[in-house]
Amino acid sequence: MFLTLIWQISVGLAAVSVVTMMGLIFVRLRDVSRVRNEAQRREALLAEMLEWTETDDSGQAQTITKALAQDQTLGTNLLIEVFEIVRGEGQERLAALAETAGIGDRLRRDLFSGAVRNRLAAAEGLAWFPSTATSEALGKAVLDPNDDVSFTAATTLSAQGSDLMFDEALIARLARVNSSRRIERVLAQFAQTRPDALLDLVVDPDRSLRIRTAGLDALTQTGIEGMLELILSLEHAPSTDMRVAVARNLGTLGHPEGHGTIARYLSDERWEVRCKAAESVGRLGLIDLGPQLCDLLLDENWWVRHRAGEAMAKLGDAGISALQEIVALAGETALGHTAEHVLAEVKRSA
Amino acid sequence: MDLAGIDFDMSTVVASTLEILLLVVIGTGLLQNALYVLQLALAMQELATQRPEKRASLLWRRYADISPPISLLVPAFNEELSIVDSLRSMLALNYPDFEVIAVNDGSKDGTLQAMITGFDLKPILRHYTEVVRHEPVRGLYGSPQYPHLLVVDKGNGGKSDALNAGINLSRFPIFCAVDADSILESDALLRAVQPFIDDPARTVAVGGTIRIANGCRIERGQMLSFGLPRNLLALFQTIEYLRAFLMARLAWSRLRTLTIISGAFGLFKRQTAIEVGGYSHRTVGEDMELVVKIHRHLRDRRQDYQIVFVPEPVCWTEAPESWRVLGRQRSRWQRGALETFFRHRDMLFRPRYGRIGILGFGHVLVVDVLGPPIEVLGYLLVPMLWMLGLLSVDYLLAFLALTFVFGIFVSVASLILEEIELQRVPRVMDLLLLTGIAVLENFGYRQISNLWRLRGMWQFLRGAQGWGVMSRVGFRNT
Repeated sequence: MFLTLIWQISVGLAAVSVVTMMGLIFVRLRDVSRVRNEAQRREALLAEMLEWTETDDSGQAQTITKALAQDQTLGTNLLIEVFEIVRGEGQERLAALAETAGIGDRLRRDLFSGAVRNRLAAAEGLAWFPSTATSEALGKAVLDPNDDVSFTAATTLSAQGSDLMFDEALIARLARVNSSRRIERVLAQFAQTRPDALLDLVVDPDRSLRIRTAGLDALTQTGIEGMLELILSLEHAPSTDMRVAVARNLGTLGHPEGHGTIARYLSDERWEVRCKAAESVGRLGLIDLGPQLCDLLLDENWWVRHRAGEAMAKLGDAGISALQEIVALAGETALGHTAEHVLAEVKRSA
Repeated sequence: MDLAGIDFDMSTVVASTLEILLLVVIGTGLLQNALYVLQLALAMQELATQRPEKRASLLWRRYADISPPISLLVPAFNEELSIVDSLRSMLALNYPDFEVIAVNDGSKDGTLQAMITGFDLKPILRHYTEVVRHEPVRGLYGSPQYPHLLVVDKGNGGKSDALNAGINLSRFPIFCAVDADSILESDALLRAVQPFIDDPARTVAVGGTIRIANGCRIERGQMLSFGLPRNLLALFQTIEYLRAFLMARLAWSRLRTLTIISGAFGLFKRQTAIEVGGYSHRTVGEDMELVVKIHRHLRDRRQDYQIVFVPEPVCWTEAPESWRVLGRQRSRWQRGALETFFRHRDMLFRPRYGRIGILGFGHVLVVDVLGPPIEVLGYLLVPMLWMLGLLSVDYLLAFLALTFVFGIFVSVASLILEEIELQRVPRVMDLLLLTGIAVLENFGYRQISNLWRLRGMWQFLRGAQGWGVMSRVGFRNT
């Protein structure tokens, strides 16, 4: 009985799979002409759109609007591509035309239905259709169960100058996926519009370290007042990641009052911090710290030795001369090789 | 002495032994097929929930500014004819920040000279440290015209040795191992890197799909259009690869029990690979060995991590078109799987290794270790016993169902998955042909494959080493 059942089930499944495949092939066959027509319409519409951005012909505008309204799926997909090519005033005019054709409405509807892929594309696409209706829709989409959709909606909203709050719900959500690199984009956007809220986040020791360091990076990019004090207040953080972030951001900020911290970090107990501090020395061209960089060429960690060598080369003639002197004096030792190889790389990239 | 009694006992013993053997054959077949059904269900679920984005321009906009830099490691041995085109195609990949490190593994032909001439290379110095073991480096080459290309010339030590040299010389946090004779789609890195963007702390390795390039139109290392192979063997392999990648790897990835990432295309966190000593020498399954070593290392440290398979980044590779070369390849793969399985056999069913020990290694045990000999035993035993009248027709039908008919379901179902979710086969006639092949491969090809795997087992037991010659037709002729 059991053995017969094995045979029956196997034959049944094989038959069902073959019939299903035949069905799919039939569907494909039926769609061949539709797909070909769609490709032709797509090419024609694309050419029309690109031409119209140059000519601004009203007749052509009507044709485009009609075509976009007739097949909104095709229109939406095409516009996403066209907006990658056409920028500025041409893009704005095209977006206005698309809004008239109902593409904006379509995207606002898509924001709440279908697969994640579609909701995400809608949240991104609405960046080109700023309006009250768009702000309302995006505001609701921030609560989307999918994090990507939620973050994209928040970023689009913030970029459109909306008064979306950088609130607990959003922060909690960012913290939940705190390792994701996508949060960098959200924080960078909020650093532009809500730097005060981000400042609170960075200094709050109860927040996740990843959010705090990413927040610090984002804030430094804005160059707002009080950044130096904020970074220096974190100088003695027990976490290696935070000290690395401090070294990195001092290198970006370039304020003279941060040099002392960078110098101290060159002898930090953690190699990651020494490495980042060496990079900052090179980036800021701090010639005074050249001797300390020379010491780091003998560091136990290869990355520290390498970054110290690179930083010395960035110090200009003085650094290059020091490296050449090390090559001459240290010869066939590990120190000599480090200096020689760094010099060779610098010469090549120059 | 009661001779009649002895005869009776002997026949009972023989009959019982045969019945037990048959039950083992059928039981193993059932277990294998149950695993396939599970894989299909999981793969279907994964593809339905994580539909890949088809529009490449969207990917660039989403990920370009947050994508980590990648070192592409390209080991090359006797690739004189195709290496320059391959490297040119890799240098043209659509990815914001990457370097290409081609490692000439002591080629006996003009591979190095072809690269030197093709890219106007000059000897250079580069600061690096030897954190994983490999044969000595004889020279490094670079060119100002191609600042992202580094060519390493080293003594022959095998693919794993060449990859280790690449790891040492790479500077970026992630490396991608790619076969020199494979072609990456232009957005493959941008797609494959997504798990490293979504969860950079936990992601340690990512694998992508390998597809068969035979029959496709390829020019100067660029894929121009898709086509099916004209060779029957390559067609069989097209279905096999669909089953292996779209079904099996996707399913195990969903369960976090992936034990292999193809050596032709895989991304790894450099630091993690270094922690496990890089690629292992003295194995022909260095790709599986590295993944298992990573699992073992991170489970021992009780670290939270993930090894992921992403179905859409595609790497195209040339499949062998001769029985001899294909047989050698399959025997080698089998040997590689067994080497890794027995090297790490203490992981099997051990609670410390969680689902890797139970599901991952359990799967290798059923499909790679027990599967081939038991299935071949069935091929020998079942028809013979049935013809001798010692077996009921029910046994025969059950065996035929498990070894032939169920295979049709699994192969065609993989094709259905492909058609519903990815639609990579552009022509209707090609779909029809592939459906036929999915049915046909179960009658003959699958059985021959099993014999090749048995040969691989035999080679493993004899302690055979080496890859054997992998002659190919070459992309230039496709």
